[in-house]
Amino acid sequence: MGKYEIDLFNHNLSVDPEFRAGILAGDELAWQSVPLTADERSALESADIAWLYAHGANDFLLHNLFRFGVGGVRIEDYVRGIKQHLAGHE
Amino acid sequence: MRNRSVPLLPELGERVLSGLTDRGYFPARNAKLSVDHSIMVPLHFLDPGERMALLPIYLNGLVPPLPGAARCQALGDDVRAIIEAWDSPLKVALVASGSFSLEVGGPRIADNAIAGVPDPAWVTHVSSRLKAGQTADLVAEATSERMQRAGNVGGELLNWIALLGAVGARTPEVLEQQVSLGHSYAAWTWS
Repeated sequence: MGKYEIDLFNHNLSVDPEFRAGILAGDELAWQSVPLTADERSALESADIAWLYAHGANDFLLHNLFRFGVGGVRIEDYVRGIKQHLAGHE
Repeated sequence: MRNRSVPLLPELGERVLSGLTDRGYFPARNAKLSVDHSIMVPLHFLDPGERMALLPIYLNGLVPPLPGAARCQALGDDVRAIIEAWDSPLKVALVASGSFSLEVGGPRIADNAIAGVPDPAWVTHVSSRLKAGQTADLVAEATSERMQRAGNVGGELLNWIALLGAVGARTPEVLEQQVSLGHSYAAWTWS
């Protein structure tokens, strides 16, 4: 649906322990509680940081994917993904 | 850090809410709030005996459009006036927390961490303004653009500026910079 839903997903990870546990456990009900497009869900499941940031995700909220281990994202993956934006603008 | 409930001060909360509304602000109230590290970490060190009650006041320092620095300074001055007019035997401490330069999760994080300090020179500059009591200069310099250039949470400086509104012309009795972490510690006292 867009930036709001991605940000809502990332916000809920931080403030809603039940939502977070469901997402980390692969609970379909938890995933469907936020109306994501197939592309957005795929990007969140795989923690595709560059794609999410390029599609308007709030960067502060985005770090919750790393903080809570969604998609198994490692710090080096996160840094590389988020800094792709800088590389494209320098 | 364990989760715990913190007692609130509803009487003072009502006074601040109505007093700020009377003065032309548009405060929102939240009667059941989960507070995070920004409040609980300072409280952990300031109140290890867990005796204090709390009145959290939040400013938007994160999501543009940010409030103006002069407006935040005035807010702090008004909060101080409302507290001073409160007929209570309680002693009140004003506590603010926030970074001067910090990027969390954004493109300017460090190469090996989820956060970074993209503008250490701004940290030193802000600290020198605080130490010298140069609040008017700092308020003039702290534009939204300037603060966000210091990081995606650089707007947290507005918490400090609101506190300076309450502090007035006083200079801090102690100020310790932590440039590598993007902030300082400072304290002012008066009675």
